[in-house]
Amino acid sequence: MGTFDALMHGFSTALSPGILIYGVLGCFIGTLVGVLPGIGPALTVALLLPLTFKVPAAAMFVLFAGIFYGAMYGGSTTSILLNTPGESSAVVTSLEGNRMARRGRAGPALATAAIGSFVAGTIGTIALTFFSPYVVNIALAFGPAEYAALMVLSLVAVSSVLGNSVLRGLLALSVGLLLGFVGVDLQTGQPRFTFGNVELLDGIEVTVVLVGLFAVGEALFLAWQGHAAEGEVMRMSGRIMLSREDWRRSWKGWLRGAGIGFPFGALPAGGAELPTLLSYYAEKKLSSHPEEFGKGAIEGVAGPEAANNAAAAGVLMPLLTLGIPTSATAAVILSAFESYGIQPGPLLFTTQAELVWTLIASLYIGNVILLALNLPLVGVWVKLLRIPPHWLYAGILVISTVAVYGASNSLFDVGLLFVFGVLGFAMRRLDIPVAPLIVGMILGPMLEQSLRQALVISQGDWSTFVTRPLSASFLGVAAVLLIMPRVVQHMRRQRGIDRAAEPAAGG
Amino acid sequence: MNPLHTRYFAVITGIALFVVAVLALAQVTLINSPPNADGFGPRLMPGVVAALFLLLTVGFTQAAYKGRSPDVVDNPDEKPRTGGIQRAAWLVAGLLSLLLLIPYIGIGLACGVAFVLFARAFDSRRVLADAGVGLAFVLCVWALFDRLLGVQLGPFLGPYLHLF
Repeated sequence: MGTFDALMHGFSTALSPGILIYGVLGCFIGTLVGVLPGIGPALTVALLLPLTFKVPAAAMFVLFAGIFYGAMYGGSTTSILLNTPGESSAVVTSLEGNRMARRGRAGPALATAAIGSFVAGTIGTIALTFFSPYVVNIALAFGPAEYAALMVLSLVAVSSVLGNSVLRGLLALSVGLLLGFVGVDLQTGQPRFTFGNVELLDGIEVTVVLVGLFAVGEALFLAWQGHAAEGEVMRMSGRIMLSREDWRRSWKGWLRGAGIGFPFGALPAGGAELPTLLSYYAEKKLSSHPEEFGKGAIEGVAGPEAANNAAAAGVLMPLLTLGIPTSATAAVILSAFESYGIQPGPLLFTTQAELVWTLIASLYIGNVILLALNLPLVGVWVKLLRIPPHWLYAGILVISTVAVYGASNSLFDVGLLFVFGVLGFAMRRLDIPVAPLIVGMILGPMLEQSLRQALVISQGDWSTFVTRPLSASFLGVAAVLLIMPRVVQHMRRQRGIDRAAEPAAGG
Repeated sequence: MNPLHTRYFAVITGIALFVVAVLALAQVTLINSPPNADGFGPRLMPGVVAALFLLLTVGFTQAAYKGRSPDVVDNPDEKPRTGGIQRAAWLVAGLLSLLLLIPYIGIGLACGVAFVLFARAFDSRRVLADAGVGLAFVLCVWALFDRLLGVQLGPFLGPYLHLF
């Protein structure tokens, strides 16, 4: 069956009432959590993981896809009206969008963000649809050595590229890897890092770690900081539509944003921070009104918002085709696949073809639902921003505890949740990134398994990782990513010294 | 955002992580490696990662001591308001109340108590209003998870309160 036929089959399943209802629910929940500060898509998907035992796989992943895309749409509303970016990728939107709102142009800012998200989300999904089969064909040639090297590349990239410091990124990664090893080693049956505790023999649930770091840690940080109630919700101003001039200034930004966002999201070092920033600078450079940047330029909202959503579609490509998560949300979705006993990777497209194509079709449908949910209903979402923060965060903490307790009925897990909450507080305060920890925890055991398989095949010969061209290339790129930030830092410092020396020599 | 002086929270965090790394290495020595696991037993990866983690904690602590590790308190936009420790203590009290109360009074009432303490951590002083909203909210969450979705949470009111 060709790609197009498979997609059409996916549409027929995704549009059946039993699945469509989950898609609509996912878009609704996603927009809700995107709008509300302090609760993001990764946390929401993690909180819903206990439901994987009750809901069929196709419906559950359509729900998760709706949440993943919906949070991107909802996040822009908060960035524009509250100037509180929910995620680091929304910082640029909040920079220009909030300035537009302050100048009485909240409506056009919200409209360009929503339409741009729709355009880029759809372009990203089209790219996902037609490029994925090619990636699958390439990935089918991968052996365990290539997989192991690709995972090393992905881990290094998530740790060294996404954060502000390689040291802190690797620190978070090593904590995540160690957490992934807790429990009985499946190959030899040996307990590891259990400290003699029976409750740790099954390992630590990713939900406990993620909810602890994101919900409890964030709430603890915000309570300690004491600024939660200070955000000023901007009044809705201007009609939520674009004038002819706004269209003219936005559409190229949407297309450029989609073009920048998707490839970056699809790389093993995916993420939306870098493409949104690149898109912002590209728009600033190409705009006929560069003087408006920093004061509320519509291009500065259109491009980065499009890049953000296209990157979200891109993140799904390595997840579905290679089984490699490149963001915290993708990591939780991967663990949901594991809950169903499904292993994402190239074989997913043959063994679970209906599930994959239903999921991809639901992304197209989700984009349409989200456009309809976000533009006319923006007034409803704005009201959510007026929930008093003390009730909002108390509610988030209660739901987090209930979800973790409900998954295992174990107070030990609730205790662990709080321990990870304290760790999350320290990480937030000291600018230690969380994503490497989550991705490391999920990929660590998979990496170990691939390494073992590769060594069994090579009869214990470690050179297999550098003698196979693809594997060697992945490891080479990983080494460059690890070393590059230090080299760049050194060069900058050197240039700074040279510049400082020049006037002294001249004077 | 680079402070020029030592930030003790970062140093203490670094030392705590160092202790965890030492414990992790000690645990690695307790992992039995079966004789047939030639070259790649269950100890290798955890051992390598624990050793790397130990080195990184040393690097982090050293950077923190030299004032090269950023802390939010040095950022004028994110600097905490006074009373941060007290607010965090209210939140921790809420978390502890959940751990201590769930087995005795059930998840419903325990979450209701915790809701009030959490709200207090975010500067709310209206205990009755918080308790009312909290209990109503918890009842909805319990009904959704336990009754509608079938996630076992136990009775809303626990074994020492035989009301439900």
